[in-house]
Amino acid sequence: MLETIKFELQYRLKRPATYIYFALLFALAMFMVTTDVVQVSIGSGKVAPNAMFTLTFFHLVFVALGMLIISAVMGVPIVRDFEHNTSSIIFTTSTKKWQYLSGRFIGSFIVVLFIFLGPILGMLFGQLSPWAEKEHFVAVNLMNYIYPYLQGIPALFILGSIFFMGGALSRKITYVYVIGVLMIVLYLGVDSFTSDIENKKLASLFDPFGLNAFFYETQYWTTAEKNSLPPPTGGIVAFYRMVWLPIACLCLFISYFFFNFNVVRDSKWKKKKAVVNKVSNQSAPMQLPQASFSFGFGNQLKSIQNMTSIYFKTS
Amino acid sequence: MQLSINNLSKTYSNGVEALKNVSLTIKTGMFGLLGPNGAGKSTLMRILATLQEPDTGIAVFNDINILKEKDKLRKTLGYLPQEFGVYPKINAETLLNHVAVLKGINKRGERKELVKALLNKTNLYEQRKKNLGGYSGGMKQRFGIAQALIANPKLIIVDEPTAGLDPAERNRFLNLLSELGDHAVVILSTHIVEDVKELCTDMAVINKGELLLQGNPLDAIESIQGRVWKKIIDKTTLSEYKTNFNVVSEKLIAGKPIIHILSDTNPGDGFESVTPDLEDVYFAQIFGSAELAIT
Repeated sequence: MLETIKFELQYRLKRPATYIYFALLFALAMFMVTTDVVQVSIGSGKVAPNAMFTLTFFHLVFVALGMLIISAVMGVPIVRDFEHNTSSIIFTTSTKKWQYLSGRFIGSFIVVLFIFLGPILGMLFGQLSPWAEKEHFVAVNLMNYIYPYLQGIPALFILGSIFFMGGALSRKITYVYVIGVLMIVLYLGVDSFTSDIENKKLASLFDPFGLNAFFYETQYWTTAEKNSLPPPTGGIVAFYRMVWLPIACLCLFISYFFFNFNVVRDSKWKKKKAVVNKVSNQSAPMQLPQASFSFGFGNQLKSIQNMTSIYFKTS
Repeated sequence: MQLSINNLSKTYSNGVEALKNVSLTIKTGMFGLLGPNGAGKSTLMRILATLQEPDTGIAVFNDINILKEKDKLRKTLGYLPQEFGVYPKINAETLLNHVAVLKGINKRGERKELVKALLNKTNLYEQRKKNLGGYSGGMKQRFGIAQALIANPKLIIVDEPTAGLDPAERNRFLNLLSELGDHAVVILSTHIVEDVKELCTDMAVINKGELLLQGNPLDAIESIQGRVWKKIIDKTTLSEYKTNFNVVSEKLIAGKPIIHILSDTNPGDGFESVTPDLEDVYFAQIFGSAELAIT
């Protein structure tokens, strides 16, 4: 397992994507705290931009927005072996299924943890920089940055596990992204039901990002509280974790249970009739039928239509 | 050492019968499994390599039940898949080292030595730091055999290793393979008759999932000695000959078809007797109607 983790990390550390994701989040976060371009109003009045509350809020938003990054990192470690066709080689080694899966998962998750240092460090550097608006700042405290990062980890783990399962079981990256889209739909769908209090409470549980839970617990906080208190861990936030962390573990368990080293999967659904080709050694000389050619606009339209349908059938 | 395969059958959900009751006994040495594309060779290879399940049947290597004790078999298995890939952004040394760890070689020093030796053996040492994505077909194939040999395997399965290699690469590759048969059961699956002729002491022919023949290549050739006849004919008369004779192969030589037929007696009509080779045996099995008995 350790070897697989090591390999996964080595592999990722050589990939530019890892650093691009990190840099992207870092830059966005820094941009956000140092300019007025992004105006996010959280509560009325003078909540400090560098209060734990604010930083946690932004970090959780980055996690939710960064869901695509999470899916790209956590969805691929198993898919990779099928895409590059290395599965046969890896699966015939002595590595066990749990070693393989857990190694790839943990390795990828470490990479996710690294990438999502991006927003925190971005905000930290942004706020320390001389051109940051330091109005309403509370005293700079490193804990104000570490704590929000820790608060983001459960959501990263939850989302990561779900994407990992999607990739491991479908063996296709397309399905990973479909899951991503479904999560957004779930979040937005739930969000539109949050008009009254009871629904809000319930909505927090249907939101895999944990954003609603955070909002719910902090909705009546005063500015003073927001500037001084650490983000909530009890109440609905705890409830959210109690619901979603087991779901994440279940996803990992399901991945383990249903994944197997068979490289050929015989579909139980598609029972297509095989076309029986008659093999023969006959090489009868055959006259190819004559066809007429046209390379005009009509043919170009036809080509577009054909490309569309081929692409549709193959993806 | 012995690999016994008993009544293996596999039918895919689309109705293709990839294997029909195949039974084989394979002993130490190079064993050639010959068959046209789509004969069921790769299905058999994957089953033996623990990557697929048959519908029925058993396969036992020494005392290991391949279908049940997959982990145990993997410890002694070397497998070169037919179509395998590599991680393109990683170099040969790194990937080989990784596979070595996964195959259970934990001591760093030993691993390093082994990886180095294998890279030398497969003539890849110079290119060890080059990303695998930049490898040619032949280099990739040699890398494939290097990874298959890591764990000192006793059962080596190579699935169509020479398809697509240029003649020089193919020779290099066959030379590599030829050394392996002394201490292991090596199964070489191929559709290229020459591969088997050059390397194997024992062989089988399968087609459409059925085992057509098993035996020593020389015995197989002997069995059709004196029964193969050839004639250079005109293109237009080809179909005529096909209806009148048991044509096993047709080739072009300088643009003219030359046919080989199978006949117990001299067919006359300008046919000359030829010394049969393994290709005649193969085509007689696949396309000829005559049943061959090899004892």
